[in-house]
Amino acid sequence: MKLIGEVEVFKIYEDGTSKSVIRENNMVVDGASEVIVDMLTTPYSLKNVDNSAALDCSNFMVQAVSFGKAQKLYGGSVAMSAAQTSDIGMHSVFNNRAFSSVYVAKDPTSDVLSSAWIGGVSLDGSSFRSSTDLPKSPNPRDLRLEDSSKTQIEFYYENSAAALSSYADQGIVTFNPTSATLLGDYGHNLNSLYASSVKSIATLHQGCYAPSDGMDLYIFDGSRTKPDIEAIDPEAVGAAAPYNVYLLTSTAKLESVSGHYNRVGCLDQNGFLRAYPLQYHPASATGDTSIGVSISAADTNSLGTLSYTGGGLLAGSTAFLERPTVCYNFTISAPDLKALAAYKGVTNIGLWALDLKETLKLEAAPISWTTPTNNRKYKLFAKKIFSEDLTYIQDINAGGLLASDAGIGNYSNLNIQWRMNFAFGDSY
Amino acid sequence: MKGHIKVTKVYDDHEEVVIDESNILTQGFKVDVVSVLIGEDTEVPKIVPGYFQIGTGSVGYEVCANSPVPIQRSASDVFFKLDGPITDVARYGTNSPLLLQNLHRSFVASSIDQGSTYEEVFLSSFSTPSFQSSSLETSTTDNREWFISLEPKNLTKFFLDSINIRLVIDKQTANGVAMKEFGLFTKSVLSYKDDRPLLCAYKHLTTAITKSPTFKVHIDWNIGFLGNTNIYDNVTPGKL
Repeated sequence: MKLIGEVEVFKIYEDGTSKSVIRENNMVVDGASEVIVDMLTTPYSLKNVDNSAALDCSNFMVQAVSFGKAQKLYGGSVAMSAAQTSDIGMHSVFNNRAFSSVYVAKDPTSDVLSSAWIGGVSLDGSSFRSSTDLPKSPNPRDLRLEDSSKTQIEFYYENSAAALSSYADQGIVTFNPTSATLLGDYGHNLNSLYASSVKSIATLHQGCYAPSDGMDLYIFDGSRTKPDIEAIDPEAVGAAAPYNVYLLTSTAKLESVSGHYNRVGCLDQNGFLRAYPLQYHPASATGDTSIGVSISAADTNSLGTLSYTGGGLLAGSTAFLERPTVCYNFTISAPDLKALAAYKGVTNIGLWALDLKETLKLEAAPISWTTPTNNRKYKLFAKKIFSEDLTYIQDINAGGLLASDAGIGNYSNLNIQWRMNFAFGDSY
Repeated sequence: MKGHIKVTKVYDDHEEVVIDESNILTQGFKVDVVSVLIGEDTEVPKIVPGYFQIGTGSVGYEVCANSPVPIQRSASDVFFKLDGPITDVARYGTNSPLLLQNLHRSFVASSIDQGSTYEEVFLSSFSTPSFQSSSLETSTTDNREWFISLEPKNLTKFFLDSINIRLVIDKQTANGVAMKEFGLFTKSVLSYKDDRPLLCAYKHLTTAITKSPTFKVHIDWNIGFLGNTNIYDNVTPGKL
């Protein structure tokens, strides 16, 4: 018997029609085998624990999906600068000497990050420059998508001999991250900036999704240098530091991009998109797969999922019985794709089951899910690497600077179906 | 995923490995795992291997006229029963220490008349045009079968990604029986109060082992992602 995973990506057009753009196999990693073997060896004796749901299927199902990219694209290396925007994501056209005063608002008494933004350079003026760097080669022993997802701010923090708070002397009054404000290194895209209330230099660097209440996305011509696109507040000219610096003209801009995942609350701050069995999915009636991942029995070749009748198997589907398939169905909405593109895109995705042993140390089953934080610990179940950035978009009019032509404004929802087939293998 | 079975005749002074090779994971195993992965089953221990059957026949799964890939391979994993399970409990022996239970067996049944009648699927392809619908059924009251109940001590995790089920057919059990097929069953995918075993793995032998009081039989059955690091494929010669 073979456990074969296949990932298919559909582009969803405004009229609701769809087109399959990618269909490739994935890699099932050792974590899947451990989960399945745990299923086969879980004793009834655990049920003796009062109020325990340790035997529930939910403990052994895929519970989350995460998105990522090549390690280099998160923050490059210690030796790199955040100004190297061809290599690393949004943060951006400004070097990392004290992480740039661009984050300081004009009014020093207000929220210094009130005009939150994500900036990046463009390929041709109106869409983010995608990267050709690919994630590491998949290995069945992989425990995460990438070995590291550290950003420049983490490198800076780890390698700075001075307390970061001392940078206040250079006028960067807000640059005072502590380790507590930095999320962990999970090897995939984090959801650090899930709301404007947590906007900070740390969350802007760690990214990678637009906050629920929106933020602005800017694109700058890749040929511009830092002095070209920032200016010192005229009121501060001639004055001593701290300077207030703000942005000059960008080539494209989207205002108030509200992250869909954060708006509906289905993504935690560690970047795990929640998965539900179809019968418990909050949008099971409408089929809206942008509200978390829907898990269902499925046909191996169908865009739609099959309803499950219970009692063992569903009726009326020879295709399912021929090759029983579990489908993980989810949609990345256009606003989230825009933000992900600014953070150098998506070239790998992962299915995660619960690491039950570690999770039960923190919380008894059933394991609750809350956002932005929860007690869930995960174990990688399967991963998929794409050779092309899922957020890549081609401008309608390459080089055109009209707002209507801007690639950044023309994203469509992407629906992803990840199907695990239990096929009759060639060996038995 | 793979299954592997090692059957050893254990005499007082030596051991003899009869077979040490792969087996077939059947459709029932897929039904069990999928039912958990999509959250349909109620509790995970229901798919734990819990029962065993010994038979004297042989399911010819290698040849299936309705195979989905008839040219490359004509086998089918779509069967849910042994060809000739021991039906007379007395054949296990009155002094056998094995725990035997008389239970209903689960299987997938199909209908070709829009659900009016269902019949157990046996060595056929689900892509057969006449196949229209299915459900998981259990045998009737009159058709209970005898199963050897596996105890927790029989089941161990073998490395992190495979399990081992060890069953000992002792010297006092099944003597005179020409054992030619073995079936491993999970407990109850349908969540009945009493278990309704579902066949998940099967192995038949080329030559039957006729049990005698002079030896025990150790059956080691491994299921999992048996790879290079944990494959159990070394044929051990008998010791003198």
